[in-house]
Amino acid sequence: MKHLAVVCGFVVAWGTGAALPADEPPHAEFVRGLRARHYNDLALEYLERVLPTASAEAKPALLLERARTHLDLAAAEPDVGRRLVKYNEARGELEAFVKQFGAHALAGGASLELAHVAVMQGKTQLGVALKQENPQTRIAEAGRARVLFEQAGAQLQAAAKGLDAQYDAKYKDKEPDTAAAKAEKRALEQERVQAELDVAMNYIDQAYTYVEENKDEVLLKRAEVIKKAQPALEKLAKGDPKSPSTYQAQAWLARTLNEIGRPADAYKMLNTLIAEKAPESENGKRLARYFLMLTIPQVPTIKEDRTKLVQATGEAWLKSYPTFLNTSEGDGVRFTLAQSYLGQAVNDKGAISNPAALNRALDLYKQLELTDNEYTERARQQKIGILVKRSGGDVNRPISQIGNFDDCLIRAQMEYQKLGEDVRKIDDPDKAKKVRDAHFQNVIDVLNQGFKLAKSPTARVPKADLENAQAMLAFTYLNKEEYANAVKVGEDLARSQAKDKQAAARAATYALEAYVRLEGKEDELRSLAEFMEGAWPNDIAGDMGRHQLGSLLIKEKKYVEAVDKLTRIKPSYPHYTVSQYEMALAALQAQDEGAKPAAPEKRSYAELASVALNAIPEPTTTDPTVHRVYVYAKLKLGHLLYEQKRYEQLELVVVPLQKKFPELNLGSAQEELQGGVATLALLSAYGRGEKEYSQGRYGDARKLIDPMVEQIKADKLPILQKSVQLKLAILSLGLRANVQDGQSAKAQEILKLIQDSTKGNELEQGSAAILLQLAQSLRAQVNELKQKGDSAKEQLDKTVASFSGFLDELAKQEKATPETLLFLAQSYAGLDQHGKAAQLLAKFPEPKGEGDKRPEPKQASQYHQAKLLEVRELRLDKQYEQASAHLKALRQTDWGKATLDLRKEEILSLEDRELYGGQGGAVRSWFDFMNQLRQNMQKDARLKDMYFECYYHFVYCSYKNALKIPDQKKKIQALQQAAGYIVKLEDSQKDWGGEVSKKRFEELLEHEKMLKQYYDEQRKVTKQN
Amino acid sequence: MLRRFVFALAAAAMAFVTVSASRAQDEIRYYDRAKKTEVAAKGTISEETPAQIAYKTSGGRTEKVSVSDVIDVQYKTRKSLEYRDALRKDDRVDQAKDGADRRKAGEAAIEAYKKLTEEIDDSKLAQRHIQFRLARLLARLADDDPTQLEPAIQALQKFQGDHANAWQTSEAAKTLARLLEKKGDLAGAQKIYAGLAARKDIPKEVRQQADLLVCKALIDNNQHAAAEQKLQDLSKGLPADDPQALRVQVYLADCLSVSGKADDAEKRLQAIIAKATEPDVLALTYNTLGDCYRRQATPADLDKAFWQYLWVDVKYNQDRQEHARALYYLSKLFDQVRKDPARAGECRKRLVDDKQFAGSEYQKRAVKEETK
Repeated sequence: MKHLAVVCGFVVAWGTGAALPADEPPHAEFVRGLRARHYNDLALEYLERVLPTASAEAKPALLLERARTHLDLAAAEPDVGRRLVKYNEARGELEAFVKQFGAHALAGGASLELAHVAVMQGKTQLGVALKQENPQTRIAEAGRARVLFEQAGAQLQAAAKGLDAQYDAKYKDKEPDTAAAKAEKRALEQERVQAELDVAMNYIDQAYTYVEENKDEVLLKRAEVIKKAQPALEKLAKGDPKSPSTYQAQAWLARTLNEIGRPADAYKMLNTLIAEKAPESENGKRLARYFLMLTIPQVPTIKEDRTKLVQATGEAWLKSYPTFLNTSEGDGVRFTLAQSYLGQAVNDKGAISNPAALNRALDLYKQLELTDNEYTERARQQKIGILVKRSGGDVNRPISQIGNFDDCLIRAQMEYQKLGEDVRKIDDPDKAKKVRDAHFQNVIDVLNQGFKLAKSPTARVPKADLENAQAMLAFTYLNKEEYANAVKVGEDLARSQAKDKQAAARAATYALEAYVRLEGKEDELRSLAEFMEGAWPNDIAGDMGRHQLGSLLIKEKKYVEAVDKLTRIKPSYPHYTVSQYEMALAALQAQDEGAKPAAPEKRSYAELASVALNAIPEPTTTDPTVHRVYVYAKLKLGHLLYEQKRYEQLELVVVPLQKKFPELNLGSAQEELQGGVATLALLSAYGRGEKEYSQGRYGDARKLIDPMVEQIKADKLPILQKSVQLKLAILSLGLRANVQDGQSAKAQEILKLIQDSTKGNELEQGSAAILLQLAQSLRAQVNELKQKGDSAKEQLDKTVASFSGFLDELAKQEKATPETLLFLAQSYAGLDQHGKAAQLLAKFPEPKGEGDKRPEPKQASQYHQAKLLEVRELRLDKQYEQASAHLKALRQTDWGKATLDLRKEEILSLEDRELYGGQGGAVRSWFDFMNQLRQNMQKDARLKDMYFECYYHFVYCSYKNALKIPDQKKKIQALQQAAGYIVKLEDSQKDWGGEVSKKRFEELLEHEKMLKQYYDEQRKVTKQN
Repeated sequence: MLRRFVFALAAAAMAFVTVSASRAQDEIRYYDRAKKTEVAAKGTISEETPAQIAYKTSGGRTEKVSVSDVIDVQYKTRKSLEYRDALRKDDRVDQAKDGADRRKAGEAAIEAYKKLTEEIDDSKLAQRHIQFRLARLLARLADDDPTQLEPAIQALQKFQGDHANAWQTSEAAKTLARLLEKKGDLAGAQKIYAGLAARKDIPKEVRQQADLLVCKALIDNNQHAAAEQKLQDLSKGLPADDPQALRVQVYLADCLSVSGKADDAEKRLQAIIAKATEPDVLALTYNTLGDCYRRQATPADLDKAFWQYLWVDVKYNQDRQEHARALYYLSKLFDQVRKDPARAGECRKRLVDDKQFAGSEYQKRAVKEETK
């Protein structure tokens, strides 16, 4: 039921008329008017025309109207798959609107529309349920619809509250003083009324999901839910006579009265409403005239012939509202009318007593059968019933005795109907196949007999009927796995000048499918697929051709062409899910090959893949292949989003997927896909946690990560056993976030988890890397905060305190591993706590080899690294004597003799002690060391870097030494000399010896003003020269 | 029990009195602008002027209806059955399925009116109204049959001569002018319109309408310069903020359009749309712009015309005459331009069935086309 056409016919100038520039027409009001007339296609056309030139004031209202129009168009879409896609598009548009115009007066209305999308999705699901033939399936599907309605109800109530809050905040104690504000107030009032109406009607929707009408307890439950709607409807029905919602509420109130056993009251109320003259009552009246048809049979006091009254009411409805014919209301009217005619057409003994009524019923059922609506299946069944009744209905009559084409065709249809009935009773698949094949053979026999009979000169069988029969024959051959026959019969019709284009299209699809199953027929398959694409470009057959061509192109690794082909498939195609998944995979392959889509497409192939995967709708069939592909597609999309760090969007993929997952029929792939979904959910939380962490929101990061850590601890995430890298990444983030947030105990706990997880396995190095990563990231952070100066002091102190707290706790461990010691020392060094670092490094154990053997090179290297760090930390802690003693001892070792870093440390110690001058001073030492390095630096990039580092220190020490010279003249000469070294470097090395080197000198010149003066002078002179 | 019986008798007697009273009243059918629908009010007519009809309700309240809104009146008379029968026969003229049927129905209605004129002797007002309805019927028949033109003109002239101060005078004058125009007597038609426009005792809107009808007649008869001159003269006497001034501008633009200056006309009409606020003026402007595009007749222009009429149907539908005009052209353009016969039919149905358009020029056109 289309009860959500918001404020139809009610002209409100919210954000438009009153607030628009004087010369801009009230576009949004016009569009609302078009929508109220059910001219949604025109509304959209108009919007697309005016939006590009609309003013900034008008745009929000127009954008919202566009989303609403899309929603209306989605609701009117007869094909379920396409409808769901359109709902998703409308939802995306509304979400984008709320995001962009969150503070706008229209945002409340947009939220209400978002809730409407949820209601519509519930209705679609209910439609799916009502189409089910099997009662159990129908009940199960209706239960799913109920869940959706309940969720939608919560959204509607939230939106209603939001509108109330918006209204109270603006107008509770204040009257609007401008025309725009008055219009806005009026519109808000309307939106609130609409929201109230929607909440009430949501209960009615929920009630209709109780489909087991033969059970008293179910009917009681249904009535109970309906009663929940009544108080609000009663209130709204007495509302503003200028508001369309008032009349809609009256119609629905009457319907609820009929539902709870008060049809006479409902009848009276509906007739009063139908007599209403106010123009605002139009939508309510339209509903009332339909509801009257449902109510009349329940009112025994009506003196007229009730059947005729129902028919007159229904026929008048169809005549009055031709543009509402293909709405759910229109479907309801036609079905009710058809049922009434059918009842009239057949007498108590089941014989046809009124052929005219039967014809009208048949006509209406045929109309309903043409589109995908909640009555489609029932209409089809009724239609077949009528045809069978007309033919005499004997399915056991020998085929050879059937004497005309029409009866053959009906018999073939009856065989199919009987096949369904028979197979349902059989559990054994082999027996079921035999029964099926027997019925298929009968269909084949009877149709072939029909074709023979049709050749008689007196037969006069319409060409379209023959073509339909031929399509049915191809379908039957396909089902009976006689593929060559299916190809022959189907392709003949497909390529003929058929009168019934739809029958030809269907035949083509059967032939194509038969080709797929026949091996070695690729050329024929391609030829038919190309023909289908050209012959039915806008039909399912055309899409099927495209799909097969796309698959062939993928097989040939022609990914760009495959994408082009598969992109053109429309959502109405039954295998749309599979085709779009294939398209996305082909697009990703094209991206890997470096291909770029042709203009005007601006998106990359990767983006096109994401869009395609995102657009894949939830399955509406029970086909396990579609279900599996749906999950694969969403998993693929999730991983793409993760790689692109679009974690919020990833969450929007994960949550619905997790919710939908239990309903899916995945067969043997269930376990594998469940693991995939679980991993994706972890990645989503991890990604969002990483994002929070990178933006300094450590508490929020912890909230996301700690629950996962707890689950890891309790061994409740078995999926991580297969994905230890992810496990380490989660734990690493948990460690960093807890350290940063000052949660030392929790951080210790996580560190232990990391060490336990990696101990003795190939990931042991990973554990050390995590610690190193933590130390480095914190050091970088401390340095950055230090550079920011006083403004970041508070943050710096906090970071240092959090980190120190964690390190101090960690340092208390009695048996710290060498990795932990090294991590601790590096970390303390990063926090300028050099004494603590040196102390820890002194404890670093010297590795021993087994027996006479030397220690492992890796252990030896780690030890040397620790010792070098110890010397540095002692120096930085100004323990120069101890540092010298250690250096001396280390220089005696083989390693020490070959290590340039130790020599560098020695000179740095001189520099730190400001011992610049003389033979043993820092200036001279740097100079000598540079000479030593220069000999090999061309061969070794590391030496080159070290050389320029030494050059810097050489300049620095020369400058500092110059400052100490008491003789002014000599001092100036020395300063000029120091500055000259920089100029010389600059002139000889265009890049100053590299980026790092250049930065060092730039900082030196920035801090040492005197040196800068001498440098500038010399630079000036050299430029003049 | 006895008490209940007495009460039932009393109730029955009351019902009889009520029925008698209702039979003895005049019935005024008029267009209620607020409700946008036709209303049938009963009472006793106390005054009729060229501007309005006043009547007393059964409750003693006096109500007034502008002649611009009056659809028809059924006067109380002893010959009420015959009176109704004649009106019913008149209505059948518009319901006829073809020209021959219409002529037959027309003859029957004329005969009934003539007979009634002789028989009614208790109400001069009723007699006068029958004379008016007869003249109007002749005019209606003259639309199909040119030989009826002269008798219709004579009947209307006689009515105007006999009843210059009747409430029907404006309607009779406009019908007469239309017939004179059809006959080719443009000067005669203009004189009638001018006389109407000069009358102080008719509603202002009818006077203003007559002013514009003079111009419209000139435009329709390809006397664009004269129409333009007349419109220029009219505009001089009007304050800039008077909606009539904008209407005059719309007609001026229409002059441009029919004389082949479509671009200028379009610009002017767009400018009026940008500044007008009165829905009636906007409806007139959008419709005129629609006509302007429609005259150019290219597919693109027809599509533009379609959107202008749609604006009137959807947004500026307060003036029933303009709304009827828009619906009439939408019923054509939905079919021709949009290839949407269902919506075309829906527009036609609204135009023909909706009582608010009763008697309007475009409803008559649609009905006539339907019955052809």
